[in-house]
Amino acid sequence: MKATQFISHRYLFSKSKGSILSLLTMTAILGISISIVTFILIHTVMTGFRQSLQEKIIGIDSHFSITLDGEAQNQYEEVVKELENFSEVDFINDVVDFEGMIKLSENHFASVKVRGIHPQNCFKLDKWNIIFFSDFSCDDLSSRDMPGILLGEEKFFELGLIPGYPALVTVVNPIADIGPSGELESKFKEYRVMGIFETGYFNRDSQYGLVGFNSAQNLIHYDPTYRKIQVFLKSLDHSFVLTDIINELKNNYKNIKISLWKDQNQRLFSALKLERIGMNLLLGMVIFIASFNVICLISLLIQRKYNDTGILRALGLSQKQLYQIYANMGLYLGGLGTLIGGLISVIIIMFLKMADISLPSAYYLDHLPMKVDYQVVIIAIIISPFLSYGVSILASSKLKTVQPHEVIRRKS
Amino acid sequence: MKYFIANRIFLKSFRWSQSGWIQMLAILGITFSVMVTVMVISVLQGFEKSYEKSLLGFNSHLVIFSDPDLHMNSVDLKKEISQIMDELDQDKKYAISSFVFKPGIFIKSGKLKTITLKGIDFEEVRKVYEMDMTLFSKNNEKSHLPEIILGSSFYENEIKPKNNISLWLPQSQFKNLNQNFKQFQVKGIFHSGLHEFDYGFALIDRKDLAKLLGSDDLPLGVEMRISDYTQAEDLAKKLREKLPMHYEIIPWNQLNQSLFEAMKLEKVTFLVIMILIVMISSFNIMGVCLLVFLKEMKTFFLIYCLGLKWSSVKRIIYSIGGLYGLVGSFLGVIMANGILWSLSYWKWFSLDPEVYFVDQIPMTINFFRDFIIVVFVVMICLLIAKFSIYQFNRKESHLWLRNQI
Repeated sequence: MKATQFISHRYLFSKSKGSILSLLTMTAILGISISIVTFILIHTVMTGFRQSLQEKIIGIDSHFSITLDGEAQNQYEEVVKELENFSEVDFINDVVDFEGMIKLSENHFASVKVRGIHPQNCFKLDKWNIIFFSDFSCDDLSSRDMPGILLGEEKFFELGLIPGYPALVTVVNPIADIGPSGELESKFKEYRVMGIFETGYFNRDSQYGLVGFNSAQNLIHYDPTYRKIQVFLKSLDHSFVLTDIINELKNNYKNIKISLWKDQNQRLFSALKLERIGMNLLLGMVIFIASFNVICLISLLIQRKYNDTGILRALGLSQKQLYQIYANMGLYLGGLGTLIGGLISVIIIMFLKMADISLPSAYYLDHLPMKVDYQVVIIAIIISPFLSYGVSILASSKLKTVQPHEVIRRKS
Repeated sequence: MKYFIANRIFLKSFRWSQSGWIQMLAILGITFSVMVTVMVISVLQGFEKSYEKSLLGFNSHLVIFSDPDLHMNSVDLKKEISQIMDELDQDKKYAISSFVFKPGIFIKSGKLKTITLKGIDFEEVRKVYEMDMTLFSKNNEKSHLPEIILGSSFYENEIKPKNNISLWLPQSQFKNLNQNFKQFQVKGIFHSGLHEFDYGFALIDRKDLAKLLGSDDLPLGVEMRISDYTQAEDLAKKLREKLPMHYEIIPWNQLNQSLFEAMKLEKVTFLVIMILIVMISSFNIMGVCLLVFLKEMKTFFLIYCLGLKWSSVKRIIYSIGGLYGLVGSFLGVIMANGILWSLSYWKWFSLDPEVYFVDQIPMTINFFRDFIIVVFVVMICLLIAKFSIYQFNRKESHLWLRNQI
């Protein structure tokens, strides 16, 4: 151990230095610990929230979707085949989307966003959490006798339907066809409610209804503008794969429109980003305020140990070494505070994960999500002791005035 | 005299020196923490008030649903509820409007947008609903079209500058689309403050809506406004006892329970964070008190030797801690209110209404709340100062005097 480190350690943790300074040392460490705990916990919850939301959105709406314009509109099958060649693609969901009405009885209507899906893909949509009534299955979506419809949980209860009972409803597309006299006509089709789905995403659960692809196509009169291909990748971390696929598709098809999940939910993620920046600023400020305690403690120590410092200087310690003594103290305080804070954070995170705290339904998620962003946590853990180190150097500026001969003269 | 000394020592600390700089940092820490606390509480309360105002304005204070299978006439429905209200005799000042929701589709440039039509009693609109409403002046020629009041965002984005709107309404007959298209004259616009309402809803006279949908009456329920909305829950309990089983009575806060629960959770979380910030910043006071004691040791021991009680000497230091808290929190309150005022005046920061439902940061400026925060912070500072001076030793005074001699 170097002399400077030894002296720093003795000054800071010595029992004989007076109880009030021990108290101050404790509060300085406590301040840093609290700020680190607050930072890690809030960051973990915010990261968890962002990641859960991202997983949910991708699970529901795919990594990216493709629509074709103009002449390319007849090339959907070709695009699907080409996408199937990519090993990173998990599955492709060819869908039709349109806005319509759902009729329950003579005077009971509600709006619905209809999505036509291929029954074989229904099994793969695990994030939709589909629950079938009695013996129904995905294949019944395109049943010839009576096609089935799956309603979002919120929509189902809004319509006043009874769970388990396969009620009959009529789906209407208001502007589907052109009649013999040239006027626009509505198209409608009867469906049996064969289950519900619960994405946990209010927007989907309160607005959507899933039907078979072919019956949905009949309702839109094969209008290709309603059609889109959703592409689900195997991994959530997709940045490199995605660029390759998009570039290849854009080279092969001219009138292709590719919409990424991030673009589709840009507003939500911009808001989350803004909240994250605001929260980081706030938490950064907490750490900064906690470092004021270190300044105060170091200044007090310098004041109390003024004579000792003069003697040390007279004994041959350089100005730089004197600075080092007090800077080391800052580093010890910061390091210890961060270590304690880090340990407390780990315990709290483990407890919160085990407790699985449920959230009110106004949130997009059912339970409090926790995800440690190791990169940010490590940065915070590294920065915190060095911030204390830095402010200790600042607080040590009084050392410049230490005159050894003055101290020795006073002492003698 | 002790407060005079405390004041002198406190003012002296602002002189440019290293200890003065540390004491200023302590004040700065408290200023920052109080500023953040005031701003966060103000914005959280602003959101709560804003949502509350909008929800109360659009849905009124109490919603009473009747069983749709009973096909109850809206006049009878209102009559029955009015009778019960008269029987209860607790609140004579109330207004009732029957209401019904029907979906409609607005088509613009080939794109469909679902809009919910809220059929209400137009003559009661001002009495029951508290929304900002702008009604357009009528044209000279009497229009035969049914009138509609659109949400402000919907009107601004989709309709303006036209005064007519065509909506597709669902009817039993789906054969001919043109029969389902209905023209409306825009009577005015409403601004509830919530984007969801202002973009997705339109108000229409219930009788007109019934006529358009080929029905005599369309009762779903009634909405009631009472003089004191905080009494809505109590009134709902009383009404539940008096009204038959087929009525469902929901006060305004229960109607949006999950939203208020979420806001309460956020409020508690932020309050804990704010208390922690204030605590961390007030730890500085402890160091500052000790610093003041060490710096002014000569003065303290001298006045002690001159006859001042040691408890009074302690009180001087204790008061200095309180003064730091007072000045820091006062500055924090001023800075927070300054920022909040500039935000509301210049609107230099806007929100996405599709995510937050409001387009500007809502906030409340409440000086009583700020006063409570200042008192709370000063109390914490006094407590910490008291704790820190607890261990100052008067015995050192003899040593000090001996050294001086």
